[in-house]
Amino acid sequence: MRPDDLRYLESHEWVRLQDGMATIGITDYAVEHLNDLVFLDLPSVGDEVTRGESFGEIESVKAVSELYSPVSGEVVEVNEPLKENLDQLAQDAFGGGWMIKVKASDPSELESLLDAAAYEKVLEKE
Amino acid sequence: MKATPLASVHEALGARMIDFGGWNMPVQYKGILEEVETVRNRAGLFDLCHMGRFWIEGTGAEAGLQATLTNDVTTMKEGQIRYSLLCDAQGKILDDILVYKANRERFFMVVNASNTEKDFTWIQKSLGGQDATVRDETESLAMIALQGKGSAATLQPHLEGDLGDLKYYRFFATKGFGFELLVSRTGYTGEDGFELYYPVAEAEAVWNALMESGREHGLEPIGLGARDTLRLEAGMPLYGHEISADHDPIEAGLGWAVKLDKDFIGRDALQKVKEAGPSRRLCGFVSDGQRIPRQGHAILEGDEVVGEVCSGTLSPTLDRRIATGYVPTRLAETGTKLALQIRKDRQPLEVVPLPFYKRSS
Repeated sequence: MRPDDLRYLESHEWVRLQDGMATIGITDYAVEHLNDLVFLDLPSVGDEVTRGESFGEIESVKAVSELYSPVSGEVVEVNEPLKENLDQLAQDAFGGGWMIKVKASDPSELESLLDAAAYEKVLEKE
Repeated sequence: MKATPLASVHEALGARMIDFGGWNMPVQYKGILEEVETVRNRAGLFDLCHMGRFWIEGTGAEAGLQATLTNDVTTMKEGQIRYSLLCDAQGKILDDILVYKANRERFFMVVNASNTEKDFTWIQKSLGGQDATVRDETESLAMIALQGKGSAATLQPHLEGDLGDLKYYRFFATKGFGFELLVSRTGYTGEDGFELYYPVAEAEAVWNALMESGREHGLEPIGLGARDTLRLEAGMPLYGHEISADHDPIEAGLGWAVKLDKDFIGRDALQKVKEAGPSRRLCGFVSDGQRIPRQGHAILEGDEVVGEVCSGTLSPTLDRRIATGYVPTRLAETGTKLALQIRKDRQPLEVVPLPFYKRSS
């Protein structure tokens, strides 16, 4: 079972909301599925991200994938060291592998996202 | 989507599957980079049952193929294999193929999976008045490839025929695994290796026997993802990427497989291209940056788009990002510095000679 204090997207991003601050990353399943990661493109502090829209890209040897934001808001912190150390994603996707922190403009957006149990069901179908 | 006779083997191995030319094929087992390294240093086993395979037979088989293929089949010895192109009357490429000459009245041909039906119809039509027939054996024969240094040692224990007698681009029929099969010393990786053609009912038995005898040589199953990187490192074209009906063999650097001293479909058009010189050429590139070049990325000279990428990958063997693409002939010199546009990023691109990789032995 994946962390149950997180919410998930079907496109394999996770979000943790604490005091109006949303920390966003991608799941261990996504990291394993992408395999052989080579490049990560993230927004800058101050950029606005929109729920359901792309906030960056992750590239593996095989393909480039969009990263989708689970919430809308302003980017307040970016995990810059992660870009140079993509191995961190495989080691700790839900911790040190976080990508951005967003000041959520509407925290209620999270309510419609998948909980851990619902996300497991999505994975069963893949 | 069609399944190969090895589908359950791939499932048991936990392969990731994709649609390739209408076939459900393994794209990777353990990972592309790891699988490339395995083939370069040890040995790999590939399911190629999706590739189109024909027998062309009859007293007019040689004359018919001579008039259809860009390469010369009359100068081939029995047991020899040649690379050739199928071109249309405009000299554009319909497919690239390998032709195997058993004798003047019996030829075997291996074509790209996505072109199987098109090629079959084209060859049947172009054999025309000749006394020759084409037989599609794609689904009655299994095809697998064994590639890498450990290939011969893995395969030899199963065969009566001696692989030491089999030179590059030669084939023989031999008894092995308890039945008759065709073995050719060919491949699409730049390594020594073999391709095997045998009854489809034996597909799994042969695969499993090779996995067993190959264990001590480090043999692993290899997916189409690694196969694409291996062939690109070795500078081999792939239909739908470097070659297509938008390209002719001269600009693709395949003039060596075009024999203008005989008549064949597309000959006159290609004679003109050769005389005038191609206006663009296929080049190899290295791109030192973070992103991996991929098909469709724009190639820039300054701010002007001068071409696009045909294939690109991270080459684990060279540890560099490599690509192929067509650029105007004046920009095709080794060392020419261009740029690659990848979404909002730009990264350097430099012309290098093909192939990127050549095995040392």
